Amino acid sequence: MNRHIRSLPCLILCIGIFIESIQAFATPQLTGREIMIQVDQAEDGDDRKSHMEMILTNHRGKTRIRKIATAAKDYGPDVKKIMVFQKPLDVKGTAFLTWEYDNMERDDDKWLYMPALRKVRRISGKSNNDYFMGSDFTYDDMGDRSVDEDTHTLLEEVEIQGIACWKIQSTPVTDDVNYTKRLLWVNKAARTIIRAEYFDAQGLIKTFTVEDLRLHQGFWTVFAMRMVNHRENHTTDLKILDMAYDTGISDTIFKVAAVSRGKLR
Amino acid sequence: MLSSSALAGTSFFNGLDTDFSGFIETRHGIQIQSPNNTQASETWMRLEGSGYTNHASFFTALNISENHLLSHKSGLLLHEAYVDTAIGNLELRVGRQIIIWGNSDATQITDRISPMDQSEYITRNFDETRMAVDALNLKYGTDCGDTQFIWIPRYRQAIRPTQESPWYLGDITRNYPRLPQPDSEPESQTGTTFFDRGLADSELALKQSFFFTGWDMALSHFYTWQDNPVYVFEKISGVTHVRPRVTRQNITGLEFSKPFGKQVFRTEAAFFWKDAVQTRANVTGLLKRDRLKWLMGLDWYPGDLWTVALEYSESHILSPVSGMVEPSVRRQIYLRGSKKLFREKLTLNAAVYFDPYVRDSLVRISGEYCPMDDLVLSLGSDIFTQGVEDRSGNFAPYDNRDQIWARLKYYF
Repeated sequence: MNRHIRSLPCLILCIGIFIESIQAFATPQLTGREIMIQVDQAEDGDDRKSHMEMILTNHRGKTRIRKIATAAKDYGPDVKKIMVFQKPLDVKGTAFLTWEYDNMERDDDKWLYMPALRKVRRISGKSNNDYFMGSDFTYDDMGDRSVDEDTHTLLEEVEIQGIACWKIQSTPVTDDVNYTKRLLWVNKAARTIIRAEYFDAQGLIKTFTVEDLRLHQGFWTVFAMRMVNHRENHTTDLKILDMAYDTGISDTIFKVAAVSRGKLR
Repeated sequence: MLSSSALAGTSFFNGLDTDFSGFIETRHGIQIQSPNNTQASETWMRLEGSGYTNHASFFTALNISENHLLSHKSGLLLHEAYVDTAIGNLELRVGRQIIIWGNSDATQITDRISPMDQSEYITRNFDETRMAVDALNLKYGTDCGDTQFIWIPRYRQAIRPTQESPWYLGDITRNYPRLPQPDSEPESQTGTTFFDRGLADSELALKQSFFFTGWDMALSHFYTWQDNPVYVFEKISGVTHVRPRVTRQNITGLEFSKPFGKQVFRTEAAFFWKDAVQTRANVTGLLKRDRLKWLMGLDWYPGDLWTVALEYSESHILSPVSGMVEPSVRRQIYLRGSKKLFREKLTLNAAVYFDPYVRDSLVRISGEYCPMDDLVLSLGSDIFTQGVEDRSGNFAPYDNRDQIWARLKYYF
């Protein structure tokens, strides 16, 4: 009996090690890159369309509004996307058509429609770090950045506001971007970045936070986000006014001829 | 079901959405040299209305102008009015519309569909000088591009500066008695009733565009009339007379663009088959020659909201003869740089047009400032240089008409 009692802790220990091993096998530790691929490939339907509003607030509290209509459709790993400006009125009807390729060796195809000139023009498909319409978001922040344009390192698993997250450090592979690293907090359940901090050699440049994330038509959807530029004390709030998934958008609206309509139809 | 403009952006694809917008602008220019004449002064408004459903839409644009310098330009003008529909890969647009081909910022090569109103020449922006044409515009899209067919039933002539315009350069035919224009050609300037000459005045255009991954190309042909009449000198009983002629043009075009890195290379060429050429009075009869126009351009997007564009273009009259008004070869270099500052509230632009043979030039420096959304204040100057004295250039005649100008535009 005593012999049995003495061997019980060893048995429990063995069972514990076995269970741990099984769990470790079932949910292997993901790398930073793998997590970012999951973020990039998070389920968002075969197509989607939305209207969004950007509110730009300067250090004096003065605001400016931008409104944009967008539609996107997946073609395997690639995405075709159209973006039409509705406000401010001096750029109303300006449209960007982008064919984004998953392969980072290949530049995207991009066309710009300028309504005043009634002209569709091919523009550079290179990654773009310019700020988008005077906001605190760059074109890259708006979704043009491929996963392998940065090196991703998983730092730790943390909770922010009770949400389980992976904290990842992303460092650009090339030096043609306006930050040296990003710290990203990825919501584990939604596979969505809910906070990001951008740094350069002088320190923190800007902070991105998701203000409203919820399931919509079965997909995790960010309805409100904020980017604060700490250097300029300038803030951009981006709100999704409406979002529709899997509506069966026609392929024709992603053709160059259609972009010159200056509106989504 | 009609909804207000406020809802225009929010209800996708259901019912008829309508939208009303426009702008009001006042623009003024003054000559830098003595006698400091006013070279532009106008207040005008554009009202735009549009409506669209799933498969059809309409668009109208009305200009209301008070031109303080050229009174005949004041008044109401239906700038554009068309309906369009899309069924599958087929798009049809019918009505008064502006159609622009080509990619050039500075030179018309294949861009010949919508004629220009040059009453005020450089004072107006390139896009503002466009005149709409009454056309049926059909596009059929395929996976790799689209085919466009355009039928313009009525010829619309370009507008040149009149005597009261500061940009008027005189008339080489003014000393000669005028003969009537042939009946077989469309009546110049005043135009004719829409269908009164049947299909005789029609212009037809066909363009095949290809949009591939990494490059675009287009081939086109435009069967048209010359934008402006050619004045043909004829000797009758030993006296030289002049007869305006509006002759047919056949233009075959090619466009190509290819991005590489942060640059986009583009080229464009047009061949004008047996085009009528303006001569001096010592050459009698209608002179026709083939023409070739081409350009090569580079757009560069270096980042930090900079845009740089460079174009080199040439225009050749093949098999030239003496007595032509135009030089047989004309070259132009165009360089433009633009930088947006202060979160795109301020845009600075500098553009240079330079003829390397004549060495005349136009330098335009301007700035656009948006103190608030929908309000744009622009200030700029246009400086002309004459170049080599005995050579005829595009900008040399305006050497003493340098100007500064201001515009205030409010969008609603």
